[in-house]
Amino acid sequence: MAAGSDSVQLDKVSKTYDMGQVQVRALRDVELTIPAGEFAVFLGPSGSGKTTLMNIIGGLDSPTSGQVIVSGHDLTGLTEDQLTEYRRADVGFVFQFYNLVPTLTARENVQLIADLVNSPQDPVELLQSVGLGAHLEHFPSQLSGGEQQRVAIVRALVKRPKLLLADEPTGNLDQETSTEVLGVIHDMARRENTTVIMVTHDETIARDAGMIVRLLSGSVASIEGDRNSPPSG
Amino acid sequence: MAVSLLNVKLLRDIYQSRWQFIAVIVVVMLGISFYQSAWMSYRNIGASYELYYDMLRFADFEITLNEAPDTIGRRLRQVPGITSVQPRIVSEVELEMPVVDAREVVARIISLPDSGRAAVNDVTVLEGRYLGPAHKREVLVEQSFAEHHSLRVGDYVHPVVDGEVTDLRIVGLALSPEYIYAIQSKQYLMPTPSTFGAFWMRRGQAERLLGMSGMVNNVCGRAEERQRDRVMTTAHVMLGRYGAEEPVPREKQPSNYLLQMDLAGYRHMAVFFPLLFLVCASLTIYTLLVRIVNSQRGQIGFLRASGMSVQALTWHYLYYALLCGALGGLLGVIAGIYMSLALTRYYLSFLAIPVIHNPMHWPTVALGLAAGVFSCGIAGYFSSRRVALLDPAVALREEVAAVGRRPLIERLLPVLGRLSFYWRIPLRNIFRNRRRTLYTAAGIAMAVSLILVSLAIRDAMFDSIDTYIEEIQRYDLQAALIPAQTASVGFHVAQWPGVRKAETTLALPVELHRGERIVNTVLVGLEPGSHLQTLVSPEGRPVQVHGSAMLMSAANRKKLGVETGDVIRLAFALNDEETNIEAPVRVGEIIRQPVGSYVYLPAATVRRIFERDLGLPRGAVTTLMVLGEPDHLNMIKEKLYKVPNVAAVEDARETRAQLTEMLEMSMGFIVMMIMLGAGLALAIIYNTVSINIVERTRELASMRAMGMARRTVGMLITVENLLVGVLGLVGGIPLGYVLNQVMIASWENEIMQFQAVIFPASYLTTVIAIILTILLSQIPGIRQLNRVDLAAATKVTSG
Repeated sequence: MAAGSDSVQLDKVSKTYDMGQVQVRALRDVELTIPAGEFAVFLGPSGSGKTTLMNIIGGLDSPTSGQVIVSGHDLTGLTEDQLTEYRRADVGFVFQFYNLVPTLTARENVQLIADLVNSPQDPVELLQSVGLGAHLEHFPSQLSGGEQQRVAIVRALVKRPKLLLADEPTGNLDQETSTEVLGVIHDMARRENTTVIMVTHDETIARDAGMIVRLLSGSVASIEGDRNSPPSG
Repeated sequence: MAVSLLNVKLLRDIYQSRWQFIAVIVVVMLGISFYQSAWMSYRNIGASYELYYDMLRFADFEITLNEAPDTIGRRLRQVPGITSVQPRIVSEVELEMPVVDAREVVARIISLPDSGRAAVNDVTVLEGRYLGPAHKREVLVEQSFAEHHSLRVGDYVHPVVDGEVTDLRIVGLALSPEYIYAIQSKQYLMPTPSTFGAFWMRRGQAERLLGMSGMVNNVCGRAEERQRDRVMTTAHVMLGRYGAEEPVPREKQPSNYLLQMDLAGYRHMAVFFPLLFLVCASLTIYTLLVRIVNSQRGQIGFLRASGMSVQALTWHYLYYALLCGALGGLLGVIAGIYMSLALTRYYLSFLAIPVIHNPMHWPTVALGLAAGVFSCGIAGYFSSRRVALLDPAVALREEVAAVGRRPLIERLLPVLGRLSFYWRIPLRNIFRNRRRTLYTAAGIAMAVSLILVSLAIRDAMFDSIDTYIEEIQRYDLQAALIPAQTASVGFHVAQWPGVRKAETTLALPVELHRGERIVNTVLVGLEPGSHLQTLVSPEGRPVQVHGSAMLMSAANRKKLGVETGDVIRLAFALNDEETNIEAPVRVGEIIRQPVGSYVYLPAATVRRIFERDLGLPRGAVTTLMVLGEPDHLNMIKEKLYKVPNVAAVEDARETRAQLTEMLEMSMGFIVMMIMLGAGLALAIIYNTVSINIVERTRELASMRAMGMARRTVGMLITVENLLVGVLGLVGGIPLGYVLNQVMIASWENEIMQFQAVIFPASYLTTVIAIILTILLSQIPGIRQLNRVDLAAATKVTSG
């Protein structure tokens, strides 16, 4: 991590969904800076705007107003193709429901994403490093939930993304497996100096985070462990 | 590499849902094979006619003369552009048959050269041998006549010339390009083997029989294509002194004209139905692909989130469609080639044409393949475009389960809420996921419409015959009177025992002119209030002749380009230098004419126009219609033959049999259509129903996990599919009805005009076929569900 280089900068980011007769304000003037290499957690109850915020940072969604700068790229105003290129080069995703391709093996699931970039990590080595060396040719249906999620993490990191976004990655796992999976994310992110943003509503997961952003009704309620701004609230 | 792994995924996806994939391929295959076989056999039947024509040197034109020396052949051969000429004797004589119907039979004697074969219009001997030397009393008989009268090689026939009966030995049964349809003249709409037959004999024999030594009365010839019209005109002028009639070009030769009409009808079916099949196939593939894309939305969302381009993913799903199109197209083309051969053989064997020309028609093959790929490609393009439209952030969310609530129908009919849960759950399910219900019902509706339209073709044909025989031509027997008689003949016959009613008409060959357009037909002068010849509107309302309004069918109006109230010129068809009868008449309302294209005026009006100039007796009639007691009909028929000037007696029972036989020729195509329609329906329903079960594996497995018996779950699925089937029927029956209207409206046929009707039996057959298909289609899905790992299926999805 280069000292003082910020990975994510959000400036007055708001998001409003037009639901026909009703307008839902998912985010309200969010101001946030996450340093490069940080392990940040977005914490909050359902409907607090954490997934929306993660999606905007990941280039899956765009803000209604405000500015989003990730690794020096201003995401506001990017075209769909430019956003695709940004996601391909800079972002890795991990989801609660894994979203593995059921008809590809563990190795192939990772290889599929590795093939999108020029200098990926070795899928096999990476899978071996998370203890899946014996399951390389297994299909998702032949793996346990924890194993599937480990494949999903390896798949997200194989492209050497600058930013790993994980949406409730342990939401579907038991306590023991959750701890194991979180360990994998920590280790692998540290190894590649990847900035991690994890969305969760589980307080215990946040314990190991370097930065905790609490969201409530679309606004940042507090930020803990922020090295750039004093904790609020 | 990314693409190749996506291809691996594609192949494995296909393997996992292989039965659906196969069913889609079958849909495409059926559509393409239908197009291929129909179009190729249409072309090849036409090509076989042409080949046969060439082999037998079918005339490009024919001129009838009074009498001319046979040396005219040599002179005609000097005409530039003429390639061959055959002067011959063509004469009609009465044929005495060893049955009571003897005097109705007309034999057309056609001479063949005394040595060698005819330069034009040769014959093929189908059974027996060719004619021996001219001094032998031998004859070749046209095969359909021989078949109708059970005449065999070795039998004798007895032409009567000037009251003298001659015995001629049949040495062979023959077919000629002139008599593929053995039609007496252009006024006849169909072969009448009971009353007319063609006989060929050596020229010397014909001369002796007919007393025409050294003379001929007919010339047929072949000419270079580009010079044909000029050659005909020159020949006509040259032969003018011998009373040459207008030359008849090949396209107006009655048999060929009817064959071409028949072929045109075939062409219509060969275009319309395959198109319908392909549209259905395309829509089925579209709905299937949409459902596949929807079922993989999580994967698509992740791949998009990971930076995979929309194009790469779109192509991935498009490949699936293109693969279906290419494989289905290829199999369809191969199947179509074999089917076209079978169909061509079937048709040609009906007409006893001994040659078959079934070349591979590469443009049709290429078009078949292209149509397969294109129809699937279009379906694939629109369905995979959904990938591009799918917002990755939305795709990544688990699809929100559709809200379960009381459907409107249950709120409107509270009694439904008290039904057992076997009915309530399926009922609510079909309203819960409206899109899924809609896709499934749409697939079933397609299948319904296909089966219904296929059956409706058959219905239209039989309806035409029924309407013609039972509602319009209500007589049992109709006698042709030559020359015209007075109406008293009707009063006389009406007194016979067993005769319930006897009526007369005055029918004359006429031409209708409107500008450049001419229609050749028969004008029937009908007594107002006639019971045995009734006219009806297309809606079935009785129509009466009145005043000078000429009643005609929509087909005739279309040919003339006229509407009710327009004035057209009516002319006697046999006008010549001495006779020139013309009169303006007003077009009256449309009448339905399932068979034929006759036009009608009141008998009094016809007499006013023609009686004096044609020298007809006062109150002239040319036909006598008789309605008799069923058990007296044969006796009445015999007595009619004995009435002076009765030239022929038409028996409605025979007409029906002949019409039915004609339609049977189309039956091969219709049976194929019904089978393909049913096959396509099966494939469509299998696809839609099985994917319906696959999509809900988790939900259904949960029911099983909660302790519901397999049979109970199976029952719930069955009830739901049947309910959706009912929706499909509700949508498909009107769709089939409309498609049938469109098809019949665009189907033109010179001999028969069809109306869009669907018999109740066809609706019933369709409903039963669809329900059975639904029940059969869900068996594999239910079996798969029974084998599913409940623990795995009830967990969260991994895709």
